[in-house]
Formats: sequence, C-alpha cells, structure tokens
Amino acid sequence: MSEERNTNDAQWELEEEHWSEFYPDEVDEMLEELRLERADEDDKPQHEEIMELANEHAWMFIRGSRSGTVVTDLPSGSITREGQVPPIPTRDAALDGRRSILLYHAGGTRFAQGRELLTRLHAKNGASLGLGVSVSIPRHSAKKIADVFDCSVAALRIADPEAFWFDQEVLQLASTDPETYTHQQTGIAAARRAARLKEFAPYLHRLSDNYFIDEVVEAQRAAGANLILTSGRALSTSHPTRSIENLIQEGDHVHSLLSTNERMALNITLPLDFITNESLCDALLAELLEREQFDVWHVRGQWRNNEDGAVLKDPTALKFYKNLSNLAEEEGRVLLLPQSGLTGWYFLAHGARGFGTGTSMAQQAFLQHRPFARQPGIPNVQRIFERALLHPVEFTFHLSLRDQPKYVACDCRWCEAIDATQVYNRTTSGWHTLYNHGALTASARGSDSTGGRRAAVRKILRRAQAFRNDQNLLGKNDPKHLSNWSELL
Amino acid sequence: MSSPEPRLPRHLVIPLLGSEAELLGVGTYGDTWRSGDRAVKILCGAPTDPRRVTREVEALQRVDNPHVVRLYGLRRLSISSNDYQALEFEFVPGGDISERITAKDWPTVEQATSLLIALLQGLQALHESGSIHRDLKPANIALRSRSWALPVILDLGLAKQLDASTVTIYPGLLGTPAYMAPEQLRGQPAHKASDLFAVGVVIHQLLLGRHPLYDPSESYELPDMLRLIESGIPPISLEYPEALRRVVTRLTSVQAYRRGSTRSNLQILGLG
Repeated sequence: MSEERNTNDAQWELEEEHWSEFYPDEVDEMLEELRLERADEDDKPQHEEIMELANEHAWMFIRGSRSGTVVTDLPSGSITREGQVPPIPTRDAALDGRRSILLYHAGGTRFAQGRELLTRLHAKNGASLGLGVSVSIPRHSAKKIADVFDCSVAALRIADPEAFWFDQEVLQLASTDPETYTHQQTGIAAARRAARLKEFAPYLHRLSDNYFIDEVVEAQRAAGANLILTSGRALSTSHPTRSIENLIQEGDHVHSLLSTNERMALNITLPLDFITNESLCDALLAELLEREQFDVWHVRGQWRNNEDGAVLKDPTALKFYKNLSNLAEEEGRVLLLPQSGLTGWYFLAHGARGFGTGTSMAQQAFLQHRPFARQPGIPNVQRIFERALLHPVEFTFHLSLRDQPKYVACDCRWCEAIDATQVYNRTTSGWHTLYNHGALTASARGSDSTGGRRAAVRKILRRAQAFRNDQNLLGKNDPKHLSNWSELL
Repeated sequence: MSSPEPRLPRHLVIPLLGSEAELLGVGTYGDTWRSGDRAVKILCGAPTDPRRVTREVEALQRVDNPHVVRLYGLRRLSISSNDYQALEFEFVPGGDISERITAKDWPTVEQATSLLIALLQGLQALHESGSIHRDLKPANIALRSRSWALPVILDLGLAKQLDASTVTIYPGLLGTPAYMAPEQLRGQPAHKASDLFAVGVVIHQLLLGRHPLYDPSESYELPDMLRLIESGIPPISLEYPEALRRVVTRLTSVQAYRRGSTRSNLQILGLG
C-alpha cells in the first residue's frame, strides 16, 4: 500500500469520525464522492464472468463492472460459469409469496459492487429469492437513485419518500436545527443536511397542504419506482388514533392516484414508544386487518440505540414484530421490514415476506439518534459478520474461529479477498455482510414439506446457538439475541 | 312474553301493507312487518339520517349472498300525513337462532360447523360491500327452512352505535350486549372484526349449550362484562375438530386483530 494511500485513509477516517458522531447514514452519503475519487482494491479491473440465462438464448454478466447486463452473444475474454441464471421475477411475482425478498438499501458505498453482489445472489438463489433496491428520495441525489435503480435483477424498485424526517417530536432523530448544537461545525452540517433534505424532496415543504400526497407519489414515479409508498410519516404515541386515521386516509388517497399497472404499499413508521405499547400495537394491527385494500405493508420501526447494535432483542418489541408478521402471513398480506437487517431476516420465520438491509449499520437498523462524542484517534472496532454465529465479531476473533469444528465458512467473493490478504477492509466486510444476508434469506425459504420458512430459520438459529455454546464468547462478540429469538420461534 | 306493540298503529299500517300483514318485531330504528314474502322495516324509531339510509341501501343492494337477507329496496310510506322510509327485505321463513336457543334445540358439531361456514361467507359478502352489521346476535340470524346450514343474516346496516355507558345485560335477556365485542363495549367504533366476535360467541354458545360468558339469570353492568371478556372466553372442548376449535378461539379473541378476516377463517375451515 502506498504512502499516499495511507495518508488518504487517515484523512478518510478522520472525516468519518467527525461526521459519524451525529449521522452515520449521512456520513456514508456525504463522503461518497471522496470514496469515488480514491482507488481501492474493488476498483481494480476484474475479470468478467457470465452465466447463461434460463429460458433465453442470452447470457448475464455475474462478475465485473458489467454485472447484471444481459447479452445475446458470448463476449470474448470472459469466463463462462456453469449453470443457468433463473428468470428475473416481475414485481408481482416477487411479491406473490414464493420467494423471500431482500431489499438493498442504498448507502454511501458505490453501487457497482452492490450491482454485482445482487446479480450473484440472483444467479445462485433467484428461484427462492426476490431482490429489490431501495433508495431515499430526501437523502439520495437523482444521480445516485438512477445508478441504484439501474439493476436488472431487482424486481422491486422503491424510492422511499421518508417523510418521517419531519417527525422530530415523535422519533429520536438528529436535530436539523443548527441552533441546537454547541459544536459549530456540527451545527453547520445539520443546516446543510436539512437544506439538502428539502432540496432533494421538495414535497417536504408541503407537509400540510392538499397536494402533499400527490407530490409524494409523483416524486416516486419520477425516480422510477415500481412500488409506490405512502409518505412514511411516523405514527404518534400522543395522538395514536388520529395518526392511524391519517395513515389510512393517505393510503386511500395514494390508492386513488394509482394507474393500472402501479402497485402501492402502506408505508408505516413507528417510534419505539409505539412498538413497546401493547394497546397501541393492538389498535394498529386491528386497523391493518380491517383495511383489506392495502395488501403490502412497508413497516419501519425505530429501535433503541444500545450495545445490541443492529439487532433487536427487546422482548416487547420482538413480540410486536411477531404479531405483525403472523397477522400478515395469516391474512395473505405482504410484509416488508425495511432497515431491519438480520432482525428482518429472522421475522421471515414468523411471516414477514421481506426485509431491507445494506452494508452499514444505518441500513440494517433504524436506530434512535444518540449523540455521543468520540475521542479523536480512537479507531472503529474492526468487525465482520460471522455467519456461523449470525453476528458480527471482531476481525481477529473471526480469523481464530475459522479452524473451529462446525464452523460455517463463507464462500462469497468478498471473503475470498479478505482471506487472501488477512487484512480487514471495512467496505469489503460490508459487502460480505450483505451477501450473507442474501444467502441466509435464500436458505430461510425451506419447503412446505419441511415446515417452510419457520423450520428453516429455526434450524439455522439452532446451529448458530450450538456453535456459540462451543465457543468462549465475551462482550460484543457474544450473539446475545439468539436466545431471545429462539424463545419466540 | 307478550307481543310488542308497534310504534305506528296497526290500523294505519295494515291497509298499506296488505290485510295479512303481521308485526315481526320492534327495533331501535323501526317496526318490522311481514307483508307476503317480504319483510318491511318502517323507520319510525330512533331518528335516522336519510342520506345515510340511502347510502346503506345502495351498499346492501350490492350484496348477493344466500346467507345475507336480500334487500329489495327503499320505499316511502305515508302514514298520518307523515312520510316514513321503509326498507323492503326478503322474508325468511323458518325462525331464528334465538328461538332454537330458547327451545334448547342445539346443533350437532357438524351442523355448527356448517352454520359457522355459512355465517362467515355471509359476513364476507356483507363486508365486501363496505357494510358492517354491528348487531349480530341469535335473534338476527334466521334459519331458512329451519336448517342450521342455511342461516341468513338479518337486520342489516342500520345498527346503532350503542352508548357504552348504558350497556347492561338484564336477567332473562341475552340481547345485543351479550354478543358485543370488547371494543364496542368500550364505545369504540365497530370493525369487521366486531362482527366476527359476535359470530364466535354465537357458535360457542351453540356448542356449549349456554352462553360462554354470561349466566342468563344474572345481571351485568359494563365493567363486569369487560372483566369477563378480558379474562378470556374459555376454550371449547378438545373433542371438537381442530379447525373448528381454532376458528372459534380466534373469533372470540379479546384483541380484534387476532380474530382475523372472514377469508382467513374460512381458509382454516378448508374453504378458499
């Protein structure tokens, strides 16, 4: 590694340290351009691999910068992999229940890698896995959205209006008011962020006027979404009945705006106080049952930001998600759990149809904002997702685990890169996590004769618990959520 | 029990409905008379919003299901220089479930299952029209040709949102409140799931041979009723088929969302 590269990395870490104090997801986004300008190992020219596309005289690139591209002539110089790429399902086929759905939430990292990763997941698991891409209208530029939506294997394209950014009174979000910050730079960044939200999503200026919903829908159409969401305003614990009524009215309004080939989802954002209040949850679930016109639910819950990281283990909140998932399954509705990562994967066992995840914690969980100060110079702990434990562990510990009996080795190409160098790379580790979430989703499908998703997830959980019991796991390396999850299955 | 007196005098109504017209019942919103093969409900009771009546009639006329009484239409009757709206329904001979309960004439398990399926199918059609019954009870379920398999849901569409503060069950009278879902008792709006609760209680009562919550010789105030419901309706006997047990347990759940939809309950019973 060159000296220049080291200098760049140091600068990068410094910038990220600074930004990540208040807005981790934004950090990724704001620093993306910096990333793009820097060469890293992922940008090196790669050899290309192709695979035949089922039912068509065509091939699809599954590795390299043209991943996902379909060609009708065998390209020269590429490696042809054995097997066939399954047909890409339509949006409605992806939602029909035969496949579990993985939604990739766009973050700051370049999507070229994401496109390749999703293509590889589809090539390997497309018969049991439906894929989607999800972008944020207020946080992502039009260029970014177009880039992420350029993904041939994604059956679902979601442009989330994320109107919850203006529900500061019910959600715990980083303040958008620069006056509330004592640190000047942080305040400036907050002001910039607030301005950018409204620049990218002009409908946020019109939250209370009659055309708000129309513009929310129009913005999604303009972005190229094929599943239209309601605005995503958060439900209120102070006025729960009114906020649920507003949600339903908004849903009916969006429904009335749909054209023949469009499909919608009720986009629900829940504060932690709502999720952990049984009577509020009962009221919401009763309303969801009642309103049969809404057959797709896109439910994002805000979780407590604590040492559990990106997984949920609060028993009360887990119970809500279980009831929600059971209801969706029993009533034949499609439940998508955006920004839920591995927790969302777990709820496939209870009846959720899909979940959203990504390469960073901000994409794997919608956590309450917790301002904290980090001492300069203290590096991030290097963690990598360990499939054998269903949990991220310290990288050095990961290296020691690989020789253990019953270890589940990862066969992703990003792991190959890590294994080859034995050096931690956060970006590569992020793609490895995402790939594993996808592989787990495909594994969670099960079959009707063996108990379906529930049995498949239970089997994976048991194996992880057994492996955990054989190890000496301490602190954050210990997947404490496994026992809570197993109890509910 | 003596026959109730109609609000509007017989000598004024019978000439309009035909000499063989007979009073079937007196309800919150009006008097129901039989006139040939039709039942005519004259809206002469609690005030109704004519626009709401028209809206309900339009919705209910879209319902085409053998387990929901057919609504022919709305007519106007001029009685003593007053105009009354009147709903014309199909008259269903065969008596209703409350008469069978009074006679302790209980269905077999198979008959109860057929009844449950038919009621769910009827409710499904009713709910798809956008209507909620709100007042399902044994007296509002006729049995065509006295068959448990041929129930017909009566008294559609104009059930009053009850004032929870006045809800009481009186000795000897297990009427509307005894079949009300907990959310209705709390004064909250009725949902489709509220109708499902009533069906669950009726079926439970028919299988058990008595009301699952209330002793007909006792009186109950609202807090007693809520406490009884929230403590949970006892499960039906394990000797009954699993699907039947599962559906009755779902339908009588305290939480509305646990009752499911008509569709999911019919699926459990092997239909749909």
